[in-house]
Amino acid sequence: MSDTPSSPVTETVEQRIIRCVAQVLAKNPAEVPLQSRLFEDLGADSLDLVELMYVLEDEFTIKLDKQDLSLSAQLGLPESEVHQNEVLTPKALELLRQRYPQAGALLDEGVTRARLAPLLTVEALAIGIGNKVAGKDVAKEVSHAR
Amino acid sequence: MNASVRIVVTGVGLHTGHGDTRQSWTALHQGRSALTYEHAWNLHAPETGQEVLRFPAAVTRDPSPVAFLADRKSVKYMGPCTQMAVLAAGRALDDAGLLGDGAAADREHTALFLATGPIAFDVEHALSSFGEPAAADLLALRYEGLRRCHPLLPFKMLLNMPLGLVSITFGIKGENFILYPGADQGAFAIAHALHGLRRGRFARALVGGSACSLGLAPVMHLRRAGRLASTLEEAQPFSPDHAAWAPADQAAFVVLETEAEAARRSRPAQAYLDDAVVLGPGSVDHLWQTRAPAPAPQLIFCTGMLNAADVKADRRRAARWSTAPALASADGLLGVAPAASFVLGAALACLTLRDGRVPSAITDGVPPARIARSMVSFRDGEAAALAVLSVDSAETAA
Amino acid sequence: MNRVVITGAGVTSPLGTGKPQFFAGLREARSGVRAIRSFDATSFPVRIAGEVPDLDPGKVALPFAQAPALRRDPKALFFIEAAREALAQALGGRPIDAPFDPFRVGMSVATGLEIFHTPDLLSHVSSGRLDRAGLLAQAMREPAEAFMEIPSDLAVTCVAREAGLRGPRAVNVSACAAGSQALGEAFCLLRDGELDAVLSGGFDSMVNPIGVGGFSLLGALSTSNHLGAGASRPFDVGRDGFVLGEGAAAFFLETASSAERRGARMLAEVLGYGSSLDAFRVSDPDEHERGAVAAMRAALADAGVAPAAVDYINAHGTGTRKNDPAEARAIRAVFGDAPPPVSSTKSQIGHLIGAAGAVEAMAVLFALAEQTLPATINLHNQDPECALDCVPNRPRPARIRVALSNSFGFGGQNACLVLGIADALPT
Repeated sequence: MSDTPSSPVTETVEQRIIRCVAQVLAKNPAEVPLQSRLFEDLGADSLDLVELMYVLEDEFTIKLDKQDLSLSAQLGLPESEVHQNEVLTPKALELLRQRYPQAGALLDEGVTRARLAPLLTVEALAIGIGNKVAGKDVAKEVSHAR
Repeated sequence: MNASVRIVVTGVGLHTGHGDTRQSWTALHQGRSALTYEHAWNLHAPETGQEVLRFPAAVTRDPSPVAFLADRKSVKYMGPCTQMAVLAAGRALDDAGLLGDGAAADREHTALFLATGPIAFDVEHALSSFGEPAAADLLALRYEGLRRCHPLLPFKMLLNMPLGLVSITFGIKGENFILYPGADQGAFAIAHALHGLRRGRFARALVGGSACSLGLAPVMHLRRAGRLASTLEEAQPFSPDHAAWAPADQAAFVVLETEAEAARRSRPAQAYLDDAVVLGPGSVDHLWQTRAPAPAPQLIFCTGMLNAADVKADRRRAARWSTAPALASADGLLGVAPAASFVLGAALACLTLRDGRVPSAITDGVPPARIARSMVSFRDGEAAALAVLSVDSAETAA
Repeated sequence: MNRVVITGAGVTSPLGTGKPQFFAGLREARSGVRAIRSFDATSFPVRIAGEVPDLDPGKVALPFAQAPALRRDPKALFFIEAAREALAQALGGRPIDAPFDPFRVGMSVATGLEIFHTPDLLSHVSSGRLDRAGLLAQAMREPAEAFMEIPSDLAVTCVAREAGLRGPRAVNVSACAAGSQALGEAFCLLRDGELDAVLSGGFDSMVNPIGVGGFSLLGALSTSNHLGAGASRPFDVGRDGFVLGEGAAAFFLETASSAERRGARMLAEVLGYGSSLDAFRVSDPDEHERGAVAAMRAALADAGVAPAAVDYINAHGTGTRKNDPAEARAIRAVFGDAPPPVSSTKSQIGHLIGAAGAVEAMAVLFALAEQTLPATINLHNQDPECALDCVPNRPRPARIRVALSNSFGFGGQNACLVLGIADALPT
């Protein structure tokens, strides 16, 4: 440990999300790039998402539910505009297609929210959670001992 | 029983207060104890800070099994019993030459039998994940209190997780079970593996015990039953003051296979497992009458001895042979974790046979000069068990 | 190699206590699932379960010293009741004696998680910390056999003593597979001649705040409280998780020659046992169902029975999103395109965890005794991904000589039993 006095560092929402994801997946934050997909690239499974929700609730002092960790949470739309009986609305689909041009057939008409999981990136998570805490002070004063 | 099919031990793995197999065995030869009064489980009155309970115990060092894990992430599912099971199982598999790329196919058809206990649920670990505001909800057992629990807590509470995680970590897919809570369950696991191997139901079995006696509930049990040693001396099995146990967290595993299978893999037999049998209450004399080996063993690892009277009874039983075997017990140096103790006894018997000598520090009296056969015995109010290991089972033909 | 038969059976479940109640419940396709009564579940997301409706703890005769501990743990009492019913049928209420050698009569039973009477602990919690010294002080004051004892161990001991069993005892805690494993291990011991008789079975109750809370946290339970008895919906498109249940079943197993010699009535024959591990992941079952397929095939091979000879499969059938289609695929992998009828008893009683395999074996005994396929109830809209004849909603008469029972457990443990009517196979 260095003798230099620690200075407060402001962590962005994205950095905090990365730190939480890294903790849950037993990785270093450096191994969790924003663009990485939780399931496909980072090897997360359904239980990891349950744990991640708990860790994020603790981190941001908010109550979350499964919807907040889904791909469509980043759209910032009310639920009724996102899906009807789990099937994505045309509006939501169009917005997602713009953000995920590579997604191809995964974003075909009739797709349900559950089937979006392979596309879920750390960045999408950060946007979705950021939407949820909007109105709160999302920049946290964190003091790091070096 | 097809007694002509010889069963051998090809691997041994331990995790004790001294560490791994080599560290534990070396410490026993050096007479070093893992017991200490300096542990987190002595109790103090909250208001005065006065000590209300002080006892010796064996605390395990660094139970993290990360070295064996392809996926670091799975540690988060593991309570201490599971961690020790993965460690000791990995060491036994390694000892048997069953780790490494070429060995994967062998593990597919390996059976897995475990004993664990008395509890996987670390109460205070659970409580620590609740936090202050939830305590009131918890007291009332309302869901909000439980909801604050870490979602992975249920995994650490489930008794079968040691078996599940050993299976997942090492790719073991065969016949299996996990039993609980006492030493006789470890004996049942060994006996069951022996029968299955002789019957050809599987060619290899990984058998183990992983137990945490150093925790709130087990310590309470021992204290109420008058079985918690207050001093180091009380915990020494062959001392006239022997009156109780020093609790420990421990795991011990052995790899058993048919002699033919070991030969196919070019692995040496560390010892032959000639017999293993368990019976119920009041059966110890019947057990010894019908299954004590001939010729005599030179050594008996005694497990489950509670006090000087038990030791006296074991000495009396040992006197049935014209040359009485010496008794041995590591309880005084390693502490006691019942569900692991019989498999630990078998593992220590194996190490003794492999080396040809037993550590004097764990032996009652003078250690025999040459040890070619060792028994492991267990007896309490509800069960009795014995196992027989030797260096050459040709000598066991009765 | 000996043939192994069942000569005594006992049960208590959400359908009631005793075989007549259980069989009637299956015959009438009743549900034992309703709003939880045994604790205040109003704050829980899950407020339904299958509870044993008719066992009064105060009425179960218990040995004096162990009674305080035993009376506080419902599952211990379930086991004692079921074991007494099984032993009464097999032995006429006498303890184990000639012609049996007590040392050659053992026990192989399954049970579940011990919660150590959480209220005992919680009364010493404040500000999220446990006053251990206070807890110890109370522990030392309380009667010796109560307060944080291990009731499961006591229950097994109590039954063994009462029956005079002196053979080996195994207490299996392999979660959802435990009940089938306990029966399977008993079968192996008898077939191989290690023992002459075994009292086997399983008992469990996780219908308490820790059990309901814990499984809720994992998202495993149905939250369709409004459906009540209709919430446990294996193979249905609308299924949303399993419903917890509690209970016990006990069986007296012995060699066929022993049963013949003493003129005991054989209720069924145990033909084979298969056990495997997924070795896949903690969180998810193997999407290729290799472990389940291996266990089913192993059980059939062990029994020397071809898939075509199986007349009925009692499924694991939990009603979770993942289990049911996976199990359907595994069954089709083993049995081909025209598998036998499959039903899930969990639709009627819920998931009894450690007791599931045992109580479901009792459902197989019903099928064999009454030549009737038990139904999968609450099946209104079968999931096309579960392409099976699930015996929807009503039991069906059928010729049933050989049946398979599946238990696929948490942690990847798989256990399958093959049972048949006593003369299903030529001698």
